Amino acid sequence: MTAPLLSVEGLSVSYRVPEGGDVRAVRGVSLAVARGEVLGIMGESGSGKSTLAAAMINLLPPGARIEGGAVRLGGADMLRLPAAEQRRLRGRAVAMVFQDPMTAFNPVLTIGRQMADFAGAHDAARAARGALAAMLARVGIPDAERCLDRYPHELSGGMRQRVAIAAALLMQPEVLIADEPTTALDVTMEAQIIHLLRDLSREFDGAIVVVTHHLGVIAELCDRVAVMYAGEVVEEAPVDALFHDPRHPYTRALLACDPAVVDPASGRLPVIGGRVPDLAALPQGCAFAPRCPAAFAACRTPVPRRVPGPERSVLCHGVAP
Amino acid sequence: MTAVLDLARVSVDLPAGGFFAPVRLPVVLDVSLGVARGQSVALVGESGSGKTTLARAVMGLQPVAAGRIAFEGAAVEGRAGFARLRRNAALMFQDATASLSPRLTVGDLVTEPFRIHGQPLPDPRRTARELLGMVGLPPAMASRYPHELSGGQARRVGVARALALKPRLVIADEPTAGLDVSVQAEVLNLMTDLRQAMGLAYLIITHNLALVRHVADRVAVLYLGRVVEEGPTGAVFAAPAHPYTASLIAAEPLPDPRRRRADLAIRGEVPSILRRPAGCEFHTRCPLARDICRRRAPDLAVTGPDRRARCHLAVTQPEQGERHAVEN
Repeated sequence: MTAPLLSVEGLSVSYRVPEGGDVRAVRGVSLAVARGEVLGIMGESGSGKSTLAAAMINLLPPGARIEGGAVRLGGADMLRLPAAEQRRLRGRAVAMVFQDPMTAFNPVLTIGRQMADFAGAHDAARAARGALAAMLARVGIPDAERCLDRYPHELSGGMRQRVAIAAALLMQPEVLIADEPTTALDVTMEAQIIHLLRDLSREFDGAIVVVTHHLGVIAELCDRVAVMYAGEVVEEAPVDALFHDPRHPYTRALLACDPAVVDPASGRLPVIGGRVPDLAALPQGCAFAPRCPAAFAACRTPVPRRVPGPERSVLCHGVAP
Repeated sequence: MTAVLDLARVSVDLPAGGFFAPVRLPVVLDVSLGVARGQSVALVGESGSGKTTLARAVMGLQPVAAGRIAFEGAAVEGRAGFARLRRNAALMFQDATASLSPRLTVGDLVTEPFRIHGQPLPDPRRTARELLGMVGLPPAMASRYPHELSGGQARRVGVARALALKPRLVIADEPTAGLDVSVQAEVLNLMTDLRQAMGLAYLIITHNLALVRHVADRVAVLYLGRVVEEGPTGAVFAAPAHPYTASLIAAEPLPDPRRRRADLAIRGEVPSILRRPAGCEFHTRCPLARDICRRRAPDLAVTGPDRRARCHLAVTQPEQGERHAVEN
């Protein structure tokens, strides 16, 4: 693996809640993404995946506090740069696509005007109409020139998501972060956006980070996957190994209960018993232990990170060192 | 087997156009569909296919422009008809949390249907406890408010509320939308259990094909408000007769990196209902479109046992099904 474009080192983020106590949304996460790679961050709601994605571009919501760690982007720590420096990097070095493309745009300005604003803040030449239209055409917008004069509400959800991707790519960022990019879309549009991102990852000389809860999107799109549970990366593996040789009991359980893989004739679907732990009152030791079918006494003690193979890591007592 | 719900050539219009030039846009066209006792039927299609509008029309929330809706053999007409239907059929809404009033406790919410329909409710606390038990929630949940619930719990409360008056039919609009994989499995299992225990019939509106495969006996595929294919779920998934159905199945991302889709099964978007394509309405996106498809609209024709499809190619070639499946 070449030197990573973006790396997260021992990152912990917490939220202060009114009832007192801290919700520890991200705990000691270390991840890296290299040029030309598509990294998937997979997790259920409350796993901390969106907080992690927001921290990568340092757009954490108010109330979030960075407890420790760093986000390195070309040598600099994004979390400790002055605000002006961070703004300079956003868009140019790292850009983000959000789940709901409607809320990402200003409803009273045309698409062209908004894209020109994004680009103009960094570079006037890229804000030229021709350049904007070319970028829209690149992401598969038919009649790109006319699209520039439209308002966000005039576009369908799939088209808006394409425009959001075009806007994010305008400054040719090195890292594109997509938070649930297909969740709001129909299956046919989802397939088209997956196709587009896959094409872009081939020709665009950067890295893509996809955050999703959808196993199908991960399998179709990613090269490497980090599975999150209760704020931690519990398993990291190349995509094929993750789906065909999962090591963490949580990954196994999650793959097993996807209706897409279970034989419909079997009637009932397997479930993961119990609930996600309260992030303000985490159990001792392994956070998954209370729900884990393979838990044993040692699981109440701090969990070691095992390395079962190249490019793999698992946070589990049950995996042989 | 009597049909719990029977739709005969139902059409629904929605108002459109300006104030001075009002027009009615046909959103659902000529849909015939039956749901038998204890049967589970899924309506699938992309956004804009008219599936939610059709469900709203069934519940009387949207006037029907043409056709007939019958519930347990009797036509649903007028206030009395819809009141009877609503007492015996329940709606599960897409956004479970938003469908629950934030000012009522869970206990009040699950017993509210009794008050709305003027049904006797001698012991509200006991009824609430029983309903919560049925959907696998602890009795203590009765004193909570909706904002204190997780997505899965809110969905269960929605189910408990739907079951309060012991309906014969449940209309579920995207019952698992927005739920995590593990919670989705729990909700689907709950729906299956209740169906077995209470003989419930379901009309499920969804675009999630994995869900359809698991809970539906029959599936009807809508495109621009028309049924383009209908049949037993297993048979339709094994060999779709309509190229649209085949493309939908092929577009579904599979949780297996060894079976990645190399090609796009379907391009473009659903055309606007303001500009319905001539001929077969799917021809603009159909990988198999021919001349006749651009000129003449196909009828919904029988393509196999208990199966119908609206496609020129499906009708002209008897063993069409297999060949229609879009290769990956």
